[in-house]
Amino acid sequence: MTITTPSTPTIVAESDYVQLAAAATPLQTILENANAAYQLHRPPLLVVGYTTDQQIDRTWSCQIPIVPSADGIKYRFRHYLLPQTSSPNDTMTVKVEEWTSGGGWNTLQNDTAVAATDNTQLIYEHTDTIDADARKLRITYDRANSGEFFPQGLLVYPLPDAPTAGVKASGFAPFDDGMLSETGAALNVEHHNRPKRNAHALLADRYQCAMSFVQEDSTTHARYDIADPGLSANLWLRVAHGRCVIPGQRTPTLVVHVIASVSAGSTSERVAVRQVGGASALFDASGTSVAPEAGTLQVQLDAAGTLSAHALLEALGKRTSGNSMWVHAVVAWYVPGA
Amino acid sequence: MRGPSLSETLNRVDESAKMLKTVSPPAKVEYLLAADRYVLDCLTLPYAAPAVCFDGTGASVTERQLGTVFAPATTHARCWITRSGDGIGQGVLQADSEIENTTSADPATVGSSAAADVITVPCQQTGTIGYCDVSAQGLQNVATYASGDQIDDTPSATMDRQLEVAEGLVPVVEDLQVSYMDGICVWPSVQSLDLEAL
Repeated sequence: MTITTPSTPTIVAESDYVQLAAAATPLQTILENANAAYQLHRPPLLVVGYTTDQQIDRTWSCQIPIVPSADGIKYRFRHYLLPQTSSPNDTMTVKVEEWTSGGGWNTLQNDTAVAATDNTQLIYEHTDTIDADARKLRITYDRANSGEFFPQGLLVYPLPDAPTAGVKASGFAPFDDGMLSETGAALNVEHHNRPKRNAHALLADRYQCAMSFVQEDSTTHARYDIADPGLSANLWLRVAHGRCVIPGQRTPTLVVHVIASVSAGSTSERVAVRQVGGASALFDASGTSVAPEAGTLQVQLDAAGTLSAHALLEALGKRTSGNSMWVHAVVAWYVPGA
Repeated sequence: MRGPSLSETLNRVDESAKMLKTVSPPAKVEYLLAADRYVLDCLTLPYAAPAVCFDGTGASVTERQLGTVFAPATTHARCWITRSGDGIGQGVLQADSEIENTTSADPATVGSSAAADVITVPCQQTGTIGYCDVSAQGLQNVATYASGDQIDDTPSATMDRQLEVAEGLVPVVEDLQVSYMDGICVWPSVQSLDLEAL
């Protein structure tokens, strides 16, 4: 008995379904394709462009909300960095930590030294398992000898190992060919139901990034304070504005997580995430030492049902009189089936 | 010929509902086709394309690299680009936005590829560049613009066109070098019509 996970799916031709004999195939092929989907369904968990200064010559860090797979799978990280002037060519260091409410910070990459050439684009990649209960990442960059660098962006997407025996926390049940490999094996009902159940389980388990805005978690170094433009308090000011595309959908509900802080004063409902001309959701500025604030936002897509179905999203912040307020990170996800 | 999916089916059907609900249903090829379709849906449904929001014009930060992942069978992509300005129809026209797909090139050669490879999206924003409402310029006119829909994978000069994506039966990571924008959404605009040919 074997759990076969093809590296690429086998497309069963429509002609193969004509005058079909009662046999293990194509059902076995379909079930093995579902195993392949476990490894190949890779919607980005995070696509981030950092809002930051360049020519950073100190430790730089940010916190980013996440909702990883319930299966505790591996994710691929791609850090986009531009080493600038240094001694020259001083190494960069990359630290990645995950945060759970029960365990605090856990290190995935511990100040890993990365060779860097001045003024030459650098992409540092690594693969690490993200705990199913993790709710945010902390990314820290630095460079030896106070060399300068520009942190540009981050991509995180699922890169799981092939599924092993047993039903996963997501509900995915790997197919083992034992019952179909015997000569004249029965085509049972469960094997017909399993591809649908597995497809649903994967889609619902792997959140798809629909919006991101990230700046440093330090109030000293965060690029924008809502107080910066010197406008009156209690005015909603935009810190992020962009259009997302959710192909084929009409009125999806986005899951939204926010990290924000204030210097003093009320923390209640300091951040708004909204669809321009549509619904909005409010979030507290509860600081960087706790779990991100969580909410949902239902959006009405333009060009609904098409490949280009889209919505215009904004994140806004509001301070209280005499105080500062920082929106450190906003991430929204589309969850198929939600 | 079997195409990729663009289906709401998976959202409309109760996840917990079984496709077959009787112990001994009649043998029907439709059951196999449905099971096959669900798996292909999962494998080929295009992923959500996020609104990636960042200050890409302030503090001399006008150019950066980003990455994204496309679902299998994607052949081309377009972009929604966010721009900010205080001109509202007045003042100097800002610099055009540029997008370059660098996946096929060594990252070290970014910026050194042929000028024709760069997609130039004309800017319609005027006035002093700020970032949303929070830079020193205060309240801004913020707008999003779509990149061009023309497909020309071997242009002789830089132009506003669709991004080429390496199509296949597995997801693909694409790195982009972008400039002069306060946000980008890179969305799959064309899918291969024949999965069997990939």
